Amino acid sequence: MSPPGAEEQASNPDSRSSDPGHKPEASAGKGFWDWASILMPIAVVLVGWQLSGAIELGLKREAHEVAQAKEMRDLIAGLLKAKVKQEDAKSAALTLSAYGTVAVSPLLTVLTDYSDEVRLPAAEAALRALGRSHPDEVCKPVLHIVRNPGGAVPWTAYASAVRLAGNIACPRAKEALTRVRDRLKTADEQSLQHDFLNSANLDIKELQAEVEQSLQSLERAQ
Amino acid sequence: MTMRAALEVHAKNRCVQRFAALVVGLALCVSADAAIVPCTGVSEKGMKLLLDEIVSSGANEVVMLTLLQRVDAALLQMELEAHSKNVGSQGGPAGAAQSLRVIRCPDRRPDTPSDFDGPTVRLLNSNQVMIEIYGITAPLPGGAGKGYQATVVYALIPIRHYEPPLGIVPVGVKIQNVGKVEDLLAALDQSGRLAAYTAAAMGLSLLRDGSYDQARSRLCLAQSRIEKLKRNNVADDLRLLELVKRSAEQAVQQARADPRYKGSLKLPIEPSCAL
Repeated sequence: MSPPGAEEQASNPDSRSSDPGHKPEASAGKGFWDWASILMPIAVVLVGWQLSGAIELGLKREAHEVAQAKEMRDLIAGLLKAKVKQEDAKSAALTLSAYGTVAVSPLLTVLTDYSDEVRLPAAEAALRALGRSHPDEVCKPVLHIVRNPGGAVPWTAYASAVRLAGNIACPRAKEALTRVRDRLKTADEQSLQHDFLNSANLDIKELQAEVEQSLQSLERAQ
Repeated sequence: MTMRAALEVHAKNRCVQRFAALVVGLALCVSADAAIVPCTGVSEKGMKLLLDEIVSSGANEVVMLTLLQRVDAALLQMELEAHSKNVGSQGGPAGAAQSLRVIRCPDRRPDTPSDFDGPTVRLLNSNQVMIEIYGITAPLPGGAGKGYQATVVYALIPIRHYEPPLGIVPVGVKIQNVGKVEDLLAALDQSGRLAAYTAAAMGLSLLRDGSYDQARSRLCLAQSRIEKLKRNNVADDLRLLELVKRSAEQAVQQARADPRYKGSLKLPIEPSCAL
């Protein structure tokens, strides 16, 4: 039961100020809007601080990505030079692998499209290193190559993908490689040559040996 | 000593100093640029011989052209010998089915045998590179007089690939002036060494390919050639000779065990390279 006059006071706050003997209480009488007016500036400051932090982080990330892309571009350009030296190719490819999963695509392009005696070993070593830390990201495109021989991929790059699948111990590599082994055993040379139209010196025995070795690597990994 | 004599001695000393600086500079230049770079033509079809740059002496074009002629002559001689043996029966004479192309690799200068690491050799072997020739020059050590020591290196790719400790044969030759084409060619023209090594590399590659007759004819040819080279006292030749002999025997054994093979190696006579 409320004291007499309380309802009147609540409905008419101005009546308090007209009472000279009334002492206002510090907090008991503050309503939602009072609190809101006090907390709003703090909340605005906090949200502003958060937002500016996020924006700054975003800008920094963008600047970092741009710098990273530029660094990667320089490394890729070095790797694609016609007269790239063996040591330079190795160090460029391994440095690219340190950028993480974003390097998978350019390294695979080097492996399949620039598969000479300098760049292919360098790209393969870098993908192997990358595959140890990011197996899923490397295995997916590697197994795609293993499952789909032919096209523009020369047989030396295909053999490289077979080795990578075994070295990294890619999940589901066993079934893909077993299928390749069976095909190499049963298919005639002409149809295999057709699979590797881009390869002048297809060596089926060598490819069979690579597949067997990779399957053995997978067995050991299990 | 008169003033004039003193000046002459001083001028001579300066000349010697300049020559020494030139020699050191050239040596540094060669070693700084030494590296394997991609060679266009490696992925072309068929067996091939890679001829790298030997030395940057300012007469490269002449040297390379003359050297190419020497290489061609050596290979032709080898082919003729293979024909005269007439042991091939898998699709014609031994030499006809597998010819060797010479590919020039400008700017390619391997430095040490370690440049031919496993992955590089594997890719060269996959592209049917049989042999790669390169040369390294260095000033003669102090006290040995002016001039250079040239080392011609034969990288026998299939042998390096299948028998890793073997396959790189360096042959050292001392020459007084590497700038002279004749001296350089004298260092490179190793009295049939190229033909012997090429036959060995091709023989081993053909054996792995299951071309037993051709493999055996090449390996027997290599055997006789390397036996002649033994006098030159290159330690690697002896190990290479052992490998070639063993592989020639394997060619017969594998041919007899292969049900698809119907050639002369199945005949019940004791096979010998002398036959």
